[in-house]
Amino acid sequence: MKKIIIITIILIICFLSNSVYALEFSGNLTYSSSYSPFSKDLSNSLKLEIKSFHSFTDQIFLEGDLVLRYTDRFLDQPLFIMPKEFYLSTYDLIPKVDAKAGILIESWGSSDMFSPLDNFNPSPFGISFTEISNKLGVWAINANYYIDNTTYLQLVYLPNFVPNHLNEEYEKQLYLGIFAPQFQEQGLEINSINLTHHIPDQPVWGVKIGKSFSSFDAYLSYYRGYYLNSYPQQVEPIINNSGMSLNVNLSHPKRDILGLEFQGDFPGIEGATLRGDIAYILPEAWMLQGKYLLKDPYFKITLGADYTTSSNLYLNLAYVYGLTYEEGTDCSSYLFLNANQELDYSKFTPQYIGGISLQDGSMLHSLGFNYNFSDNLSLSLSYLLVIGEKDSKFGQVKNNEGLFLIGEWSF
Amino acid sequence: MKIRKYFLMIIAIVLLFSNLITSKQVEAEQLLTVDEIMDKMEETAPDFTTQKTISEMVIIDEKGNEETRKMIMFSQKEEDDKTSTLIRFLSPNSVKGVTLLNINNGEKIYLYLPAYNKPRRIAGASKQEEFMGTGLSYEDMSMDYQDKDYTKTILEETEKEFKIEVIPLGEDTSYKKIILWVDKEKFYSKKVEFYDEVENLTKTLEIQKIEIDEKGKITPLEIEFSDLENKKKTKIIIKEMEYNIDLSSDFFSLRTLSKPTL
Repeated sequence: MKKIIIITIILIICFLSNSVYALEFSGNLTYSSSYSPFSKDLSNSLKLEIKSFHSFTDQIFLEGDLVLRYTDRFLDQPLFIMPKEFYLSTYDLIPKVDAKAGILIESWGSSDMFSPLDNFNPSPFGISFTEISNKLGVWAINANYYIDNTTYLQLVYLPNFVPNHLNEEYEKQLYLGIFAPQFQEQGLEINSINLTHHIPDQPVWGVKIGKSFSSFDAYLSYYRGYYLNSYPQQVEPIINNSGMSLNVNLSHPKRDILGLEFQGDFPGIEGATLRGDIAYILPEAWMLQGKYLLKDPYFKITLGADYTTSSNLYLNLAYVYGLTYEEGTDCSSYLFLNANQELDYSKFTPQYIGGISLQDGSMLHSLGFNYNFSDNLSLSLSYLLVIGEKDSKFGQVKNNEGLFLIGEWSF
Repeated sequence: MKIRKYFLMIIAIVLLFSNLITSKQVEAEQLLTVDEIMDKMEETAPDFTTQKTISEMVIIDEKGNEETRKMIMFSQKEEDDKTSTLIRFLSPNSVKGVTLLNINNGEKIYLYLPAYNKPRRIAGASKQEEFMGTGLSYEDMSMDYQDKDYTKTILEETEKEFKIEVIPLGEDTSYKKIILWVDKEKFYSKKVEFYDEVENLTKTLEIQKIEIDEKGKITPLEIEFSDLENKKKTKIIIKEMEYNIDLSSDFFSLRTLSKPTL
């Protein structure tokens, strides 16, 4: 955290200092608002993202991306200032090698959504149905060695593992909701909870080899790291001044992931692109209260295809086995469809994103539109509808249902 | 997907440069056959293997509203007369850095979106695929009417132009016929008209401004596509152009896509 603060200060000084006139700046200002008709909650966020770039030579660059955000969203951190990315990059300084070092966002996986191979960067608190990239940068080194024009080897190394960011109050409510009923059955009335986080201090790394063939690209990868979400390690009820409390130790199981990703021509459909990620996950056996939460290796899969019709209707259909928050035996099957229609006579682009759980039939539908006032100013409005029982796959995120408005200005 | 279409439009321009333009000053007093005219257009095309272009694309809607995008483009003629291109948006900021790599006339196409931080491979463009809703296919835009899949006829010869009718012979073409207006002095297509199945004029392409260098080579500086059905125009304005620049052997590869400067 200390490093992050230092980098943030350096970036802010850079942005404000006259001495860095050589830096190129760009960015965007995004206002987003959501309204839930059920909880009557209205939340607003304003995010300023400033990107900077400096070229030392044709081979060495400094790039930064600073995010300042204010939100009044329930349980969220009101003010958020953090370098999303800040790194030094070199291209061919060492022959055939391109490298980056600093705060990075790594993107593994070829699929457009829910790639099970994209595991280096943590996510901020909250599920977003609106942002394309919703990850936080981490200290890392990325080196690509280009064997030839179609083959490369990639190494990603994180000196420290960084978990997903969760609001502590939310986390307390979550675990209280899980464990309090169990102890209630034993006659113990839990009225508070103490969480202790144990974050592994071991590095995280991954290697990938990619090859471009005539009609498709394929990549094999190996990742060694940890689950980004924490798992309870030990749960212990204790008596304190205010009654019965629960001490919960949380940590992150280790995992190894063998990955295969590919993208290329869809066989038999000219113009359609097939993208897929297959992850074979070997978890550290994780037991709680005599029951394994993680034990056996398992697969997570995302297979998608996108196609644009002659009438400019963009379609992206994906099969997902195991969403981001599903692991082990919890994994289940889903279908997602992303569609938007470009209109010849209008700046309106109607959009639809939908998903269905093939396990329980619960669904989400987001219907809306995007309106481009100009190249630099756009507005989108959508309504997210969740259909399903409260404990169903999508029913669990029913509190996200509502109206979403996003305005973005690029500068 | 709009971005992809803009890129495809620019790729088309690259191909047009190769085929629409001729620089050789030819005396046209003598009677030429249509094949001889087409051969002269081919023979006198700019002689380059690599090219760098900085251009602006102005999209004009039916109300006259304009949107301008600036981009840099590199191209290289590969073996078998195929072309590889790399195009990057320089402005506006909403699309800055978005890059398209097209290897060997679309054998492999990659799109790099900075927001995604990884290249996306796109299925090879069909020769009949449309560019920017103009209805012009990759094949149409290549303007490669030399082969035997077209019949060509001189319809008219004026003081300044040849009017040539090109009729595609294949069944999978979008057009009934294409009319070329070829400059008799400089031998380049000043205007192209595209007619649909029922012979309605649907699209036009005009080279509005050219530059002739000391060697007599012609560079088009302004090209305008008009979609007559949608009353939409797209104008390409060339700001800078260099021929036969040095490019590394791996320039048209995945490696270049994410490099911050080109």
